[in-house]
Amino acid sequence: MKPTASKPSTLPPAPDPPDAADTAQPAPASAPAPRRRSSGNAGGLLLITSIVVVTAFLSFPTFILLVCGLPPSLVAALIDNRPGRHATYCVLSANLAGIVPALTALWFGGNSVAFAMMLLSDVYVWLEIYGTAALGWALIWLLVNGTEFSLELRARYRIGKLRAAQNAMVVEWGIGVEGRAAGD
Amino acid sequence: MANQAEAVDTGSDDLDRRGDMILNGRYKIVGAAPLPAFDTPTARAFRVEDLDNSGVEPVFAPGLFARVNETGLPSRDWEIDVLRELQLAHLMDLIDIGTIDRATETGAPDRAVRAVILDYPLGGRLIAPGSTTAMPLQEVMERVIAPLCTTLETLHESNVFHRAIHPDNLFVGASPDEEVILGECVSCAAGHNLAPAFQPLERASAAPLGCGAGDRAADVFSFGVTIATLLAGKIPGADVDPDVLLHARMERGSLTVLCGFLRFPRHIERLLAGMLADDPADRWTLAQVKDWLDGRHVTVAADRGLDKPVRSFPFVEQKIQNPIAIAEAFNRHWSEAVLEIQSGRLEKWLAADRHRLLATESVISLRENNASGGGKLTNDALVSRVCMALDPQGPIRFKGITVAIDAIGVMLAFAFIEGRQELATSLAAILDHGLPTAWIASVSERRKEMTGESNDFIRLRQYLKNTKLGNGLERCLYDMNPSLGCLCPLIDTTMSGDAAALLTGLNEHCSPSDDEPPWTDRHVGAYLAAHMHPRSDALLASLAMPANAQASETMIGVALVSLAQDRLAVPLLPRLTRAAEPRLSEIIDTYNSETRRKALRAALEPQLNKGDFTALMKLLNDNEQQEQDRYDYYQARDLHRRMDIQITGLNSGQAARRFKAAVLGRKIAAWIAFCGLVAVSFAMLVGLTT
Repeated sequence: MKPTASKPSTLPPAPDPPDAADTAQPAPASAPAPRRRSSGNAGGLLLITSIVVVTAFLSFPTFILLVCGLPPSLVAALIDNRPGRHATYCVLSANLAGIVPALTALWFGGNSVAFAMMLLSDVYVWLEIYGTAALGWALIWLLVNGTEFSLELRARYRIGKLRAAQNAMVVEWGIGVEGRAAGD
Repeated sequence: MANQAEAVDTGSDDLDRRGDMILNGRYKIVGAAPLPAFDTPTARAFRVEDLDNSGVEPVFAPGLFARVNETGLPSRDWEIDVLRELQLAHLMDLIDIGTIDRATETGAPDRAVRAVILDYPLGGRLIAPGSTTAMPLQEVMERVIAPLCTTLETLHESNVFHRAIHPDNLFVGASPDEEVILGECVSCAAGHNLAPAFQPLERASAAPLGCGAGDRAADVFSFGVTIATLLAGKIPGADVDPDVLLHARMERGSLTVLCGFLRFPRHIERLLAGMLADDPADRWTLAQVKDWLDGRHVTVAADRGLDKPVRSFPFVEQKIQNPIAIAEAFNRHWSEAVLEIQSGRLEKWLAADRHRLLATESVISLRENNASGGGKLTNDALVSRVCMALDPQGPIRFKGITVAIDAIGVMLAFAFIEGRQELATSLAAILDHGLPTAWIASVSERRKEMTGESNDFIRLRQYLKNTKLGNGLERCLYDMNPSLGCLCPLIDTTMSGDAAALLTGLNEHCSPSDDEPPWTDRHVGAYLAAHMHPRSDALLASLAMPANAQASETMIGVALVSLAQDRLAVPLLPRLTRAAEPRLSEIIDTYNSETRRKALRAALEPQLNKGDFTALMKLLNDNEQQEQDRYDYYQARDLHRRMDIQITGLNSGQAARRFKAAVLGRKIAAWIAFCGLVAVSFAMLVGLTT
């Protein structure tokens, strides 16, 4: 007679299905890697360049400040080829956060080339601009490693839980449940 | 075969020493008062005391005597049932029959003792054993033929064939001149006590036990030889070696051999020719004998069986002229017979006579079937079936064994009781080769008349092929011998007479002190299955059979005992259930789930003390639970396998996790940085405006 339904109440609870990402196998070495579009970076660079060029025509002092302050972001845009380009956005955001006070001071301080040069002669302005960009990189390093550590921890916990469930199944169903002979 | 007479141990030497025996609580068989004048080759006679119902004073019963049979062979139940109802003037009255209560005996015999209480014939035997005095024809006609003809006709109308008609079994009442009384026929197997000369030719080649229950024609033949004996004053052919006599009868005909040298009035020769015809179809019926007695003309058929071919058939330095004799010779020289049949010489010899064309065709067909190979017809089956073609009315012949189809059961019982393993194996081979069905099918009229028997033998063959408990040769034994007690060595034979007593006996046998007392065996299983047929077959077919072979056997045992306990209202059997406990654990252990096993054990424990096999059966024979257990087990295996895959995936997924962490970490960092940018911009905006 074909059973209509199992009676799981008498059996050890089945563990939750694991997160697909936890057990996701890395792509086999032989598999062709997806081709990355180089136009993404070019677009970004074009955008930044356009902004800078437009700014150069409209507000030269701002242009000077940006040219001196944005190289970390340019470097990030050049070296970040991961999908989503989050590193670029992170460094750009941090970089801009460092530039915004200087820009504010420039715009509200007459917006002249001389004032811009004065600002650039201040080491704290440089420290602020490049320090925040470095903070962006530090944030990336910290969060990547932190996430990796937490994912690893979670995987170990899952393995332990699965092994415990398997042991409970062996107790309930005998060694045969392992799918091999007892002497194996 | 005449020379293979069984040496049945009647145990008669012990009987006298055993003292009194009680039958059915009423008749005391006095061991110290034997009646040798009424002994038979298989049973001893004793005086009987009738213990009246009050049981105060035993009353000597001069009108009764007992015959005690210790062969242990099955009794003729059908005949007993009919004879108990019939009251015939010229037949010894059967008063009672049963198995003796051994509690009153000192010995410990290993086989059932059956006793029959009979009406005492005051005049003793008609002729003393060894007497050479011939009876006058007129006296034989008036005192023997006429009354016995009527008696036998009445018996035959009730489908009872006496099969013990011989001069030693004729008795006289109080007056020496009155008509004779035919003795009983139920204290031994059918035809067991008949001398070879009294067996019709179609059964004479079989061993005494293998002659079978017979038919009307067999009784007529014995009656005819009895008449010839009474008239001649000696048993025809008594001074001739049985094998020589048999061979001569086959070659020259029974009438010529048995009566050829005796002088009879011409008038009676016609009667003997009719009654001693070798072909059962030509043999007179009792009605024809009565017609003859009344003076009417009755035709005597020419003996067709004696048509001889022009030349004889040479076989193992013999020159044989009759197919029946060839069949017999083949049976005695089995391996030579195989070569002879395969050489094709037999069919050429048979074809020389146009009356034997049917046999010729059969032999050719069988030989070709054997030669075609493929294991369809083995050499053994070939010889046996050729013997059937040569002697269609004769018994089944197989490697020296000769047995009538209706005597296979009793022969098997004999083999088991006497421990004749070889005989049992040969009988099993006869059933396994399908020889009984082939014998039935070998004659077209028989095929129609014996459809039921044919189906029974097909069923027996299926039992034989099944080696599980409740089947096998033991099942065939009890199926063919419903009156045979269970031969289980664990219990006393008096407890094995019927299924209810058997279970009670088994329960008493199981001692609580034993570690693992055997609670059942193949005999018990087969006995219960045979006695509970057809319910047992249906039950066994629907049984929730565990995967383990030993547990399956136990399951079958429990099923059969529970069926018997339920159907026969047998009281509770606590000792038997306790004895079965270790075996029951094997059934429980076949469940995969430990939870289920624990639950079953907990539910089983109270039933074990109670002794209710029906309840045990309900617990253990749970098809749905067994299926569910198997289903859950395979689900669990699948789940375990999937977990293994998951663990392997997790163990080898570090690179994937690193990749994921890189993406996720960067994304979070980007959002945090963006939020920082917004916050700084907002702060600048707010700071400047304020």
